[in-house]
Amino acid sequence: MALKEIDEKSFPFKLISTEQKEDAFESAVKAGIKVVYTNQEIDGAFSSNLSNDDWNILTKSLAEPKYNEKLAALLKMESVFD
Amino acid sequence: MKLEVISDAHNLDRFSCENITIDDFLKSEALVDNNELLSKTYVAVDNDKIVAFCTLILHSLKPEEKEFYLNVSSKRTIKQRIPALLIGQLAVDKNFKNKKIGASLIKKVIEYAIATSDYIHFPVIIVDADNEDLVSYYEKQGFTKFPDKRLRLFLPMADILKTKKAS
Repeated sequence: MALKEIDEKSFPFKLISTEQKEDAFESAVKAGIKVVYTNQEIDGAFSSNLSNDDWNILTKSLAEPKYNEKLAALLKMESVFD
Repeated sequence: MKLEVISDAHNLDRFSCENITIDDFLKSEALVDNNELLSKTYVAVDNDKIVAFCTLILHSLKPEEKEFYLNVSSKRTIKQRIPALLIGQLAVDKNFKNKKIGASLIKKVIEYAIATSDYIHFPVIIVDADNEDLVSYYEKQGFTKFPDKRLRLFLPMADILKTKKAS
């Protein structure tokens, strides 16, 4: 995705009014729920973020396929399944 | 011992891997997610008892940084996301540990990944270990630990295919 200026129309999240946000915040505080506002994606089952170091190690590994002795042993192992 | 896709026919209540979160996932979420096609859970069945299970999910990895990169020499953009096959859950019942069931499950997942690569590509399998002991366990199976995400490991599909071809 190319860099571009983000304006109200291109902002990827639906904006809610300040009043609605404060209502949600107040009710969450009363319920003892910690409220965090963020525009970053949070790690979940379907996607997650990697640090720069982790990302670089992964992309380097993908570019340089290696024979994996431990994996070879696993693939030769007799399975318990029928 | 058989490996089956989770269904209503399986009695999930008696399974215990001594991790309540994982046990609860199997008993209350795995079948629902499976039926909604969000993930796919396989159960290892021995004499009608669930002795192990694993859940596979399509995942997407991306770097934290938001900058856009262009490799000037190749004129290709550097990918901002990498698709992955996530082994979301993998657990063995407490009474069936040390019988190579977990390793057999990992082997089966890798075999499924190899078969799937005939039809669609994803470059890496990732797994989240529950604790440091399990990190060592996955490393013994050939996975590599991420330095920063210390309980997550990865295994490139290119390594799998190269190893399989050479074996």
